[in-house]
Amino acid sequence: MVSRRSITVATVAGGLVALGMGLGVFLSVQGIIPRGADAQRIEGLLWPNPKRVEAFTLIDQNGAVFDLESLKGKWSFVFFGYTHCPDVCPVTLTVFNAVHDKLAEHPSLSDDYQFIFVSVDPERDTPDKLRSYVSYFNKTFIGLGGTEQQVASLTGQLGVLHVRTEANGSQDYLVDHTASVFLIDPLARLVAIFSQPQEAEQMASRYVDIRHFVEANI
Amino acid sequence: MTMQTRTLQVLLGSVMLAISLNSLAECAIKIQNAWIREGPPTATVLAAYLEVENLTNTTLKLIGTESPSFERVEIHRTEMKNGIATMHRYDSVILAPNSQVIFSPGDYHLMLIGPKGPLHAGDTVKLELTFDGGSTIPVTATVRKAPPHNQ
Repeated sequence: MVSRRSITVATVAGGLVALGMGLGVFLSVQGIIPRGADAQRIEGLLWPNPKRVEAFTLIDQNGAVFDLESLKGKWSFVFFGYTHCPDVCPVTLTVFNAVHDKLAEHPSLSDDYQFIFVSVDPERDTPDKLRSYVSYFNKTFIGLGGTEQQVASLTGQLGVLHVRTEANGSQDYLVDHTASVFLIDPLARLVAIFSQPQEAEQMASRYVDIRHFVEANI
Repeated sequence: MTMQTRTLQVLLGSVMLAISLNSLAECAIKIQNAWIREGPPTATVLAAYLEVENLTNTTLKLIGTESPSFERVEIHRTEMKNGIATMHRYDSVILAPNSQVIFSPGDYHLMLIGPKGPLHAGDTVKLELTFDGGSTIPVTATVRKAPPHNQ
């Protein structure tokens, strides 16, 4: 009884896989998916229609404006969080630092990439706080903040959510926030989203694969 | 005199009971790999991670956490839902008989609020875990830049 059912499920599943493969090959041959197999194999890649990032304005850890132009010409790893976050933010920024070190080990890769931490807690995260926070993880990291509206100018278009919780009037509130890492290409297009949990080796290799893929398909 | 001896006996008895309760708790609960992630010098919150194992055949409940090095210690858990990290505060954590609860990055952690001084990798910090029934277990956590290898 059980085995017959399993066989049926396996047959249906096998059929679907075969159909999927057939379709994939067909689409690749037709050129509908550029290098179809590659694109599908890279987890997190948003292709063939990466979203273009639109105008936004944020303030960096030194008080300077960081806007759409600042994304152009570089690959950007972007993470949203807040400095009062004890778990997922330091974990992710530690991963960023490890990715940074791994990429630096490969002289064949040019160093046109930047790591960006965007604070979704405008009330507490001043540029001074952001400077000491991000530079602890890596001196080259960029910390962005600004007013509520400025932060929303980027979070809104990327679909990043952030909600204050346990606000009891003190400074002790927490912020629930999107914890994925956004990869933006030098044309300011959102080309990949890496979901948690983050792992340095994996993030570095996905980045390299995505970079090669996107450069070959521009 | 007799009264005084009796008081002393009662007192001694309570002290010994307290000691034996504590050692009972220490035998019943095993805590390993306690560590605190080093944070930026200006950090106002840090997280501690550890493995808590209930070696008894009864359910135990972790109901309190504190540390002389922090203003407050709370039990938190990071939960991921649709890519959003949500932090929940828990008043207690249930330890089923003969089971282990692992406090680890991206999961349960002790949220250490208001460090009383700067902490650097290599420093040790005293924590106290209180269980239902009143037994308290002292824990020494090491400040580290990265998790211990076996975690």
